[in-house]
Amino acid sequence: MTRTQVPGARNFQNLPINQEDKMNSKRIKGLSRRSTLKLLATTGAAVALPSLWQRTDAADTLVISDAGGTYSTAFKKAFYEPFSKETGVTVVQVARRNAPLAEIKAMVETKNYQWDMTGSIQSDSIPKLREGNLLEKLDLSGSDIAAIPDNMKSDLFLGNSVITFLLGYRTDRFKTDRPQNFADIWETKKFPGRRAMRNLARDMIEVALRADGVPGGDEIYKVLATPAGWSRAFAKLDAIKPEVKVWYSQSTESTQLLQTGEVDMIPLFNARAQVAVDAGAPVGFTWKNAFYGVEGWAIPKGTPKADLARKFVKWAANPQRQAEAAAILTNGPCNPNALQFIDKKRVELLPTFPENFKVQTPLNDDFWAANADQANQRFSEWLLKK
Amino acid sequence: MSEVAQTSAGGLRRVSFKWLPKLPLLPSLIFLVILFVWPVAQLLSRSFIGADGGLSLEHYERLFGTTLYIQILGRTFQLAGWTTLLCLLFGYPVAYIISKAAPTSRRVILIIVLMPFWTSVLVRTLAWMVILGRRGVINRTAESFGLIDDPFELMFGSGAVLTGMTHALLPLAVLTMLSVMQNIDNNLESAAATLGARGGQTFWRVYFPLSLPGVAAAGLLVFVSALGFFVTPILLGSPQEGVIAQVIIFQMEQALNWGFAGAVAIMLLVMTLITFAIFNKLIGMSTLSGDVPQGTAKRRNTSVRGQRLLNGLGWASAFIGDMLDRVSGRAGRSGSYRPRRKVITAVIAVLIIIFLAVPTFFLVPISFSENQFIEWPPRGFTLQWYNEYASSPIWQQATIRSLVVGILTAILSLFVGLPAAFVLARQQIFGKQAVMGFLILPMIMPHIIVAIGLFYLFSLVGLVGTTLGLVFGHTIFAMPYVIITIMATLRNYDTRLDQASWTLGASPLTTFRRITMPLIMTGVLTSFIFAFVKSFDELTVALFIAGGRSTTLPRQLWSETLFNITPTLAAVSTVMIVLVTAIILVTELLNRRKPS
Repeated sequence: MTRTQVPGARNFQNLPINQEDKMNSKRIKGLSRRSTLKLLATTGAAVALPSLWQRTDAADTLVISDAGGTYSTAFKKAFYEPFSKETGVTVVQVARRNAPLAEIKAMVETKNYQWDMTGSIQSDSIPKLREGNLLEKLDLSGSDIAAIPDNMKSDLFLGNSVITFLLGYRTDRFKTDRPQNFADIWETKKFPGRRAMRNLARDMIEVALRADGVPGGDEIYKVLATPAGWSRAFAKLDAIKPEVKVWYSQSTESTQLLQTGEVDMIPLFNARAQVAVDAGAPVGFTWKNAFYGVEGWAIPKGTPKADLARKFVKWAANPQRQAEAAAILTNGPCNPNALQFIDKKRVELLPTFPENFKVQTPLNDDFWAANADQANQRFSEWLLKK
Repeated sequence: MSEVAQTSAGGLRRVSFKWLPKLPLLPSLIFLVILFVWPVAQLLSRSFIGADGGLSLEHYERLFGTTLYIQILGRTFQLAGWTTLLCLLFGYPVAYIISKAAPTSRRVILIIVLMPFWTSVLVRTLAWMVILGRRGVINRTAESFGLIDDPFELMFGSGAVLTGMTHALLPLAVLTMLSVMQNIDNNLESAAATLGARGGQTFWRVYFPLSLPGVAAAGLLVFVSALGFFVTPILLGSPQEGVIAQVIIFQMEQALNWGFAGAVAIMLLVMTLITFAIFNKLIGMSTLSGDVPQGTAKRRNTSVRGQRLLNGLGWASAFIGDMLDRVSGRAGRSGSYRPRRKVITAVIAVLIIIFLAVPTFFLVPISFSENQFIEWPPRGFTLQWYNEYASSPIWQQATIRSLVVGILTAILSLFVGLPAAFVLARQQIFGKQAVMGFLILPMIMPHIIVAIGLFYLFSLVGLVGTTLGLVFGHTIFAMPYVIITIMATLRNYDTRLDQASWTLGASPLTTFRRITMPLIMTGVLTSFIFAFVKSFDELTVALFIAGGRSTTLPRQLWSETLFNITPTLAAVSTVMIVLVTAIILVTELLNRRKPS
């Protein structure tokens, strides 16, 4: 009934029987208020028995979690269903919270795997998971994976798509002269209007330094190698702080802010801005000097389905599969060969379309993992100061 | 009066086994120790483990090495304090009006007051954005009348956060106070009037003291609930309204630093307990627990001082009423102050009830709008968003599952919480204040900590991914609401009624069923609703413990907002409100048909 147990994990196959025994013995004793309660609880357990140990999967089942919503729709069509059809493996799709670090840690430490692998996990989560030794090694062989750029894959993570953080704005506010890059957030005379910024240290420091003339990419981290570089970033942020009307924490909010005209200029993810454009809002955005992160596949350490999961990851690097996902999600496929399978109108909207991609630079996840605590604390203190 | 009842009841108890009446407290304590204290303590104990795996205070050094976290904690408490004050001020007249209203209008008001409960916190907050935003309802209306040139800055500040939080917690305050006011004997007021008390005096010296347990319980519930709020401050506030729950969640989920998160959580717990102790010292839990004040002379002085304050208020309001009469030339007309007081209270109450209903009334038109977003004004008319809900088995399954889990949670919370409330309200037990403090702790604990703690515990017994596990998880958060509400209800309960019933030959069970239950029904129903709503709107434990395979309504709403906040959310909220209202009305109709 249960699936193969992990060596060392406790075996609970006999649990339902124990529960029943307990229940019966309670029945024999008299009915005090307490025992009534217990009886009730155990009856509840008995009612829930079929789901008491939910993972009743056969050997050829793979449970994959993703961020839900549009991700689920896109991944189901592009990956899960085709994989099932091709291999006969049943893919069970489950939703998880946005950043699944805590889930992975809890699952690995308890050896209780609610899912065997995850999609749409962001690469900035990987250094923390690597530090905790919480991920399985991947199989990076094959031509599809070889086509994916090196900074989008590692032994523990395979990039699936690129998401870009860029400058979005209202085209009804800036009709002819449009903001060109992050530096224009600071041009309050040339581009008067309300600004929103993201309540996240990393993104704001990256934005500030770019606006201050640092080209981006490795140059950013050279500047941040000295305390003076950090001060430079915060000095730049000081200059814009009084003009910022909203500091948003949830990405969901960014679309709403731009779409309803609550603000006129806002750095946000490209897919968020695209949603507003698609809904017919007067919204534009610029790829220039933007920066990108990667989301992709990872496998929690020790899952009994690791081999099957590895197979899936290798298979999912297929350009046609990635192209199909990009038809629904406005994320750029990591495999450059995917672009040829996407129709012309759509492909120009994607972060990895060459015209868009060449003006962006990547985030360095390792740098930010090492500096996150310090950066977050300083940023929070800075924000709280009036 | 109650002093007499207490002593005589105590006298009766002394004959029987002393510990027996206290036993019903045990299930709730055992439940919380196993499902809350143990798993959470294990998680929080990581805050004493350093990076090298040995015992260390490094997380606390980091915590107190800056004023940042203390500042945020201070702001959290400030925000909770103001929210509580507003909820009590606004909630009291509404609860008062409901308790005095005729059955039909009472039902209507209750349905409106409960409305914020049936919309998820996310949707409610979005509704406030629609109303308060730069291009929101208020600003557009003001602009179209030419009142303003530049839109008001209504959003993203403490005003908006307080509005959102007060709106969210006001039903809690109203219902808690109502369940106490319900049991205040109307004859007492008539008696006071017969003895020559003016309207203001009757209220402040007779009614108000009797309603105090409800105020204390509502204050406690709202304050502690507000401490755990984070969605509203994040979405409606500025960084100045940052709350400590946000810090804990960030450290748990993004930074994966459970040690530091544990340290912050322990700081929050300690501060909450200190606040609770101060609350206890100032107001005295006796207002809630019903203990006869028998402490030091100092405590008695406090209550004397309180009595004098109320007397003062009574005289003052009677005097003001008198003055108003003279100004309006109605002096001498007997009884003229009574209707006027009623009118004023009614006007205030109606305004507050409108405040409660307003966000919902904006959501309904939006749910029929052709806009792709939740935005104002709605354009055209479409059933597209309802279609999306009705044609999706996922939405329906999520609705049903959430309803089932909510009802099971409410039942379990009542079964465990009700006996505990009886003991706490009626028995003298050692360390009662400590037990009370302990029982409210789950209310402030960020859900992510309980969720992860439970995951480790449930992994050992195979409860992860089960409905039962989820119900257990939700009951942890729901039970404190049940216990406090029922305790407050029992405060004005005359135990002599039970004794009378026993004297007349009824068994304890019959007495409970025929006498006690009908009398505390409002409180029981109220706490049932609280427990249900607590579960119905819960996301984190649902995702962690129930696994992602079978979805719940909050989870479905939340996935829906991942990329695009469509009017489907408004449609779902409208469906929920209609559904719940229909259930309430049908139950009423069925009850009415029953021959009494």
